[in-house]
Amino acid sequence: VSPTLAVQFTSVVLPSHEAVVQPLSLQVSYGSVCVIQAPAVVCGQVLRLCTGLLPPDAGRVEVLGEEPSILPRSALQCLRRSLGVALQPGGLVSNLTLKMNLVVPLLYSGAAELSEAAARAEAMLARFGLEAWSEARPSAVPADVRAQTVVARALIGEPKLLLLDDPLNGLQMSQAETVLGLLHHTGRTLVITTPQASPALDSITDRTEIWSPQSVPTPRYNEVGTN
Amino acid sequence: VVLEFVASSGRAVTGRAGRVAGWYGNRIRFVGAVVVAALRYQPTARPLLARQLINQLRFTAVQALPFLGLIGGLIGVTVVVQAYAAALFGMSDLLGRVLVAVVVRELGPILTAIVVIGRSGTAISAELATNGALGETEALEAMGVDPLQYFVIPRIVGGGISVALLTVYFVGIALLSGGALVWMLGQMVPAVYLESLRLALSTSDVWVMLLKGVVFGLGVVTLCSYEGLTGGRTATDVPQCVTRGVVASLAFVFLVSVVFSVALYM
Repeated sequence: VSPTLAVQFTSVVLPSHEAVVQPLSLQVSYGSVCVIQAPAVVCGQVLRLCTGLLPPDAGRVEVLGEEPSILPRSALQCLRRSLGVALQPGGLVSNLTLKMNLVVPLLYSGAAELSEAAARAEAMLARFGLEAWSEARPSAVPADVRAQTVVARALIGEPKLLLLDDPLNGLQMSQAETVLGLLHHTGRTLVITTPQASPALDSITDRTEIWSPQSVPTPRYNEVGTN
Repeated sequence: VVLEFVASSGRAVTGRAGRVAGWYGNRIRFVGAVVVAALRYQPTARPLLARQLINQLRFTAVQALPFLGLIGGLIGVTVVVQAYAAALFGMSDLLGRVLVAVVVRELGPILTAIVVIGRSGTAISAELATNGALGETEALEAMGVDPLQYFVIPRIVGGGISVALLTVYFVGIALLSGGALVWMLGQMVPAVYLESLRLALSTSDVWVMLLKGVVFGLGVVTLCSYEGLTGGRTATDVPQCVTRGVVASLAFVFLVSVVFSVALYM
């Protein structure tokens, strides 16, 4: 049986176009929970490689038996619809309510009609205890509510593989426990990247991979352009 | 030295030509991707598409009515004043022909498109660039939602419909205000004014005006969407995307207007 996720690369390119060189070889089997501990600036890039948002510099990434970097656009979209992805920053659409943020992926993947999608979104928010915020826009809710909604959005499509970038960031202990409980309860393959070890995370983890490159470029402020 | 100068000039020209070709190539590829995305809508997404389309029409068309009406009224008055200054009032058929040639064929579609660029094109570029800077576009893409389907297509369709309808509104207001001024000056009774317009205005003028409106609307929103969607990485990118969108849209409108004029009236 092929692994749900197989990653083998030697470097990751940062948004600043600088490369962080350090080999990573990883195979995640179906139903297991894997944590990749890496510098914060690299965490999201590893998941971007897995979703085909970033092509691998060298090496190979295989997700659910497919190589995202060589798939045509339509096939890549199909693959992504079977994933639950939460990147940093959360990327909730600012002019939609929290409920509609969960509805949109269901509608555009063809998974449900509007009424069914809305009911599923409300049920999912209720599982996180966020039903009171369902009609609020992201800018009107606290950061921890936004962070939980991002995870709820990743879960809403019942994905085969969940790829979450630091999902406990900014959550209180009780909220982190709720989120981890829900993630563990799904029984799905789960890959989490995080910059720091967490005892709460360890409780559900089958395997922790520490990816520590020798040197990571310091994030720089972008040059301010003249308008 | 001469050979070196020729070689460096050649390299510069080739480099510039390559950049220009790349500029057009990127936008043409974007249009192709939009067309492909439009053909791949999931049926379940249509209610949301309809809702976004209505929002776009409300923002681009309905909310622009007061300002565009003001501009239309002022343009109608200006053209009639110029006709008065040129002593065209004695020749009633000529006044109608001037109004149709200037307002219906040229100024109506162009000024409507410019107002839409100023109001909606800038907003679209800024909003899409902000979506990109906040990671919203990437998040949708990571979930298999095509940002072209979600962000761009409703805006493009709404833009095309809006500019066509607004052009009709603009021209209507301009002709009415011009007629009102002629009547107030006591130079021409309304019946003669309307008759001169009727004689000058052909059905093809109306169709070309509508077609120009649709083409301008589709082009302006596509160019502004392209700049917003592809340019927004950080907050400082947002104003630059807006600037690029406005410049490209203005160039597009004037270029297409010239093409229409040369093709139809020369």
